[in-house]
Amino acid sequence: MRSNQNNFKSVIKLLTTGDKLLVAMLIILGITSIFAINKKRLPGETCSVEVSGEKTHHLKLSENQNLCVEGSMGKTSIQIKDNKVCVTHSDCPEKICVRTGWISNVGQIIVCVPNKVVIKIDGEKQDFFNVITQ
Amino acid sequence: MEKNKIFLTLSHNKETPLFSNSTFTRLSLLVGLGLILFVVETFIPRPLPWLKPGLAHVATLVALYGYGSRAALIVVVARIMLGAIVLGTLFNPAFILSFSGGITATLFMAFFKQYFSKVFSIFGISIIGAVIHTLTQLFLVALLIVQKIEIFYLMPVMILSSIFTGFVVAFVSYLIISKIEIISLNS
Repeated sequence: MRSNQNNFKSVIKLLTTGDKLLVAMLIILGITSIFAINKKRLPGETCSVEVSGEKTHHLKLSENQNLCVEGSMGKTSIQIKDNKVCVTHSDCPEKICVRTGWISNVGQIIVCVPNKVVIKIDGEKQDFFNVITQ
Repeated sequence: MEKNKIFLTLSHNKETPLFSNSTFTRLSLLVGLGLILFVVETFIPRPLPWLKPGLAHVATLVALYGYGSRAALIVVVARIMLGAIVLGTLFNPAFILSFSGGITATLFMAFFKQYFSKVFSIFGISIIGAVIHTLTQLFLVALLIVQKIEIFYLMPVMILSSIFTGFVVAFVSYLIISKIEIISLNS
């Protein structure tokens, strides 16, 4: 019987150089693939604006325009420019929606909680959460 | 300690059976062990539905190190078929993923154990198996089910988590193998 089998340090000693190199290579591969993936976001084509839970506007991102919607606390100005959307002005106190800045990729969202305004970039949802692998 | 030892009885001679009776019995026990782990780990809550620890590969690894590649392949196929019957997922997409992932991972593990056993210990072999398992499934999901490149967004999560799970599986298998003292017989 080997002693100290449950000791973690003795387990590390069992790893050969090849094991350690393999783990290091896989970690590097994993981390680099994070960066490779972040660049490849899907740009959206349309966005929808919801006020107080109701969908009020459906806008194409290719058309530059300014829009003003009336929320529960005041006005929210939305600007569409160069396939991107942002909130330029809001009457809400915290201005989190303004500070979110420009969004352009599928699934990105600007929320103004006090004014109850939600701006979403539409697009096909990736439904791999439904895929159950066993 | 004599009766605790598991002997390598894999034979290439056609006149003698592939496995002796005692080996065959032990392989069945390994299938049972893998089946229990396979079924029980579906009840473990997981953050994402496809992140599984893959503990059933403990049985595969023990079979691979104790009885060789063929035994490991037999154990993995039997375990996946029986597991699919128990869970009621026989021949549905999840089963296809599980089956192909398991077999590819076992083939890779057998290959690396055969030719690179001086480079990789059981930990390296197990991590290779875990990574190959998830990558096979990822490619198959991208090819057959989702048919979108975006599925590869999951690749970093898959690779990094399978390093961890592969390590855990190897640790458990190492404890089992060292308890039944087949490492010394095998190497």
